[in-house]
Amino acid sequence: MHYISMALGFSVLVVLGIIVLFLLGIAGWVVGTYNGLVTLRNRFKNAFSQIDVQLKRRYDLIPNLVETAKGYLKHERETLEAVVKARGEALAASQRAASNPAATGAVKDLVGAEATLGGALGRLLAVVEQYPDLKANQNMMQLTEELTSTENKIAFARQAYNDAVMLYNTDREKFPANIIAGMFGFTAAELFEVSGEAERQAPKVSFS
Amino acid sequence: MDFFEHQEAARRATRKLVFLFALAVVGVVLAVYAAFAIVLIAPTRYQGDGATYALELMTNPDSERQRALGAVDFLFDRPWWDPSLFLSVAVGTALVIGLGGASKAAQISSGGRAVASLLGGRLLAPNSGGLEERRLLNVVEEMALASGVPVPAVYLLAEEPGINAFAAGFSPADAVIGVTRGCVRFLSRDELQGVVAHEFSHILNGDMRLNMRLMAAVFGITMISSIGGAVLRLGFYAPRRRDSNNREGGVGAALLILGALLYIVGCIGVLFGSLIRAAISRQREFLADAASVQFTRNPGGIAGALKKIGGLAQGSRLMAARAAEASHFYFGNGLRESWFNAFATHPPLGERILRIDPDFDGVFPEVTPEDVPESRLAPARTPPRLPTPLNASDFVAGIGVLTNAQIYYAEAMRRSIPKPLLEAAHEPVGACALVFGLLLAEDGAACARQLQDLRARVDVAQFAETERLLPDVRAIDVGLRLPLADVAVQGLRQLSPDQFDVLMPAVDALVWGDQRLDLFEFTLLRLLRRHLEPHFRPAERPAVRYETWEPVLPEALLLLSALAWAGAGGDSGRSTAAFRVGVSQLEAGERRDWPMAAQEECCDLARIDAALGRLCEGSPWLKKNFLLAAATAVMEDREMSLEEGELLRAIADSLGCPVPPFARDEMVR
Repeated sequence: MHYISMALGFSVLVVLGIIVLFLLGIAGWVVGTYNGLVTLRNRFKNAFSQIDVQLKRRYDLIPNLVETAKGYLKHERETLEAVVKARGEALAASQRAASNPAATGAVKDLVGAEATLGGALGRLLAVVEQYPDLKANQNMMQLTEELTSTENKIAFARQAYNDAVMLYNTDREKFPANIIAGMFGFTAAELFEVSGEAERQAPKVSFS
Repeated sequence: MDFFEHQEAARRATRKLVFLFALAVVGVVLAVYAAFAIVLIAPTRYQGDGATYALELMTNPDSERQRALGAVDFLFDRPWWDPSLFLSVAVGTALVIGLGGASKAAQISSGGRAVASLLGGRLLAPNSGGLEERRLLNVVEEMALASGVPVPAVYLLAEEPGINAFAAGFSPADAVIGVTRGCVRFLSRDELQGVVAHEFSHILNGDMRLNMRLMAAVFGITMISSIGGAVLRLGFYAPRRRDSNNREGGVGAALLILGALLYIVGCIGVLFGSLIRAAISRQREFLADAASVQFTRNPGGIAGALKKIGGLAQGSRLMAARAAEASHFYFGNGLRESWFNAFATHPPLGERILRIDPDFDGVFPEVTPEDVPESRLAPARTPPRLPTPLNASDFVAGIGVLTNAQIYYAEAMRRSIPKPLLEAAHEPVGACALVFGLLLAEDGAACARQLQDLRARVDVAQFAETERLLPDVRAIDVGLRLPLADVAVQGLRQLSPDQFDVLMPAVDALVWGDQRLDLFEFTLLRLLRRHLEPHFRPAERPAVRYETWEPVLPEALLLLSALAWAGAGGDSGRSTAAFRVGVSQLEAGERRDWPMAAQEECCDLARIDAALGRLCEGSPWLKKNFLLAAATAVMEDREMSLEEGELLRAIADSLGCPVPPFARDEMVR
């Protein structure tokens, strides 16, 4: 009798131990997955800062560009105003996105505003083509050159950001991590994609 | 204490950690056993009607299920000592602690970045930020250039109003520095420098690595109390109805008691954890304070920062929920002042200040935000004349040591780098362009060929930037080329892993395009690998495997031969002489006629890499001895060219020993 109950007591302990271990394993997995997602989310948020730096640089260039062009383009006020307006909107959208790139719609809004700005800039540069004096202006040449190089850097930073977003999105969609992602509100991150049209309209012209 | 003694001390502290940890595990196991004994054994001893109860159970035909449930407290007069119970408790507890520690270790295995993001840090892009952030980044960059470690990534704890900072990572290559918002707001540049110097001493002295292990170990020990909490909740929700015929409620009650006991026992684990942390971390804080004064020669800096902690209502306390886990990483006490000194991770503030500033009267200043005038971003101090190491032992003594002269020198060095290049180094495209520019051949035709190849390999942005910056890169002093690359590492860390995978083959193509590898190329390649790979790939962390020369002597001889050949410029007589004096410094037994490796062998980069990798697993003492021999070989001709010096630095760096840059007066303005 003594041994039977001791064995029973022991088996209850073992069962209890297995349950505890099982719970522990689950808890460990939840914590690990959660932390992994946080790390990846931080990484794409960090990657956004490089886009932001270059966008800011471009927003700083545009007023100078408009100022230089103003003197020559007396009859193109609309084009110039469109650029200034689009810049203002893109600037506001970029500030929203920079404060939290993971917020729903933040990056999408920025992409939209950027496409508008790219279109307006493209039209302005097309107009500039018709004014040889302005085209030959030293200041203008330098500004457009800098604009082009900034565009290129934005594209490069965008690539890095999208890489990080893809990594995060794939991990959060995988089973069973998607359960954790759903429970703790890891929403899908938005790619920073420029639509084909806007890309074409973006000022890729060089004056050299 | 020199750099190597600090490393040895850190290793001793690690052994102490292992010992204390084992002690704590034993303590916790005993406590858990006591908890189980109270639940399972005590009722059998003090339940007066145990015998009648047993009889009732045996005669009741419906007792199968009851026996299963009641068996736990069925047996009476069980002895207090139950080996099988103890065994299962010991195994279970060890498993829990082990699993807990392992999970934490896995979580922080990607290095300092993981700790920083755990604590709510936001990475500061090296090319962004307001004046306050810019100033912080400048201070960190100067300190890194002065000490020869790669510039650590800087994280801002934007939500923390108190004054605090930390350094985390396994090695200088993956180290990060985190700083609270209060730190950048309230501290002057000198004070900030004092705090950053304190953190650099943790980076240089191997404390960080110890702290990482401490974090995992303590987390494991405190795991029991978390489980106790979970069991407590489980018991709370389990059925607890209790009447004369139904003993099911006993499960719930038992779980409640067990949970509460585990929780209390867990608190014993927490207590042990705090004691271990305090035992290991407090002394190191005093050392780091002293090192900060030694590095900056400015006791006012760190003392001022400590006084401001005292003067600020928030002090150095942290808001983040996870702060307790990492309290030993911090500059100041991150938690509330403990009721009992033995548990504090940091010595009392007043005592720390008094050790630095004996005239301290105990009155803390009123703290107001510092305004950062633009001019104070980079102070224009005249660079001092740095003594160039004249012999090998000077060189070895300079490893991992910072002086204020070196910090001033680094400031001047940074100022001497043209602004467009410095800006480029801080952003990814520009940093890639700088690396390409440094590797492009001087010769026009060869350069054109290389550019053609490069155009096909890299992004249009990188290529355009390379062409734009090339004239500036060519124009800088040769001595500034590697410091520039050191700064550019920050920009390169901003690449995505895919972009990094494009960069390295492009770099290799530039290096090997002309079928030969010169010293500068080798050094730059080494620097990029050492400082970037831990960031992009899962890093392997060399552990100390070799305490004596026998297993790694061939590697040391190969490296010494390579150094001897590199310095002699093809003259076999001179190289042999250099090799002989170098070898004579190795304390590897009586024999002195070790064979020198042939020149062709030394040109095999894969072999050199492998040799450095193995030597990296030597004890600090072995490394010190090897570096002494290496420096002796290089200085055999009583002079050390810039290339030789940089090569020596790169080799020391590959062994995890950061060497401050050598002074060249014509280099800085």
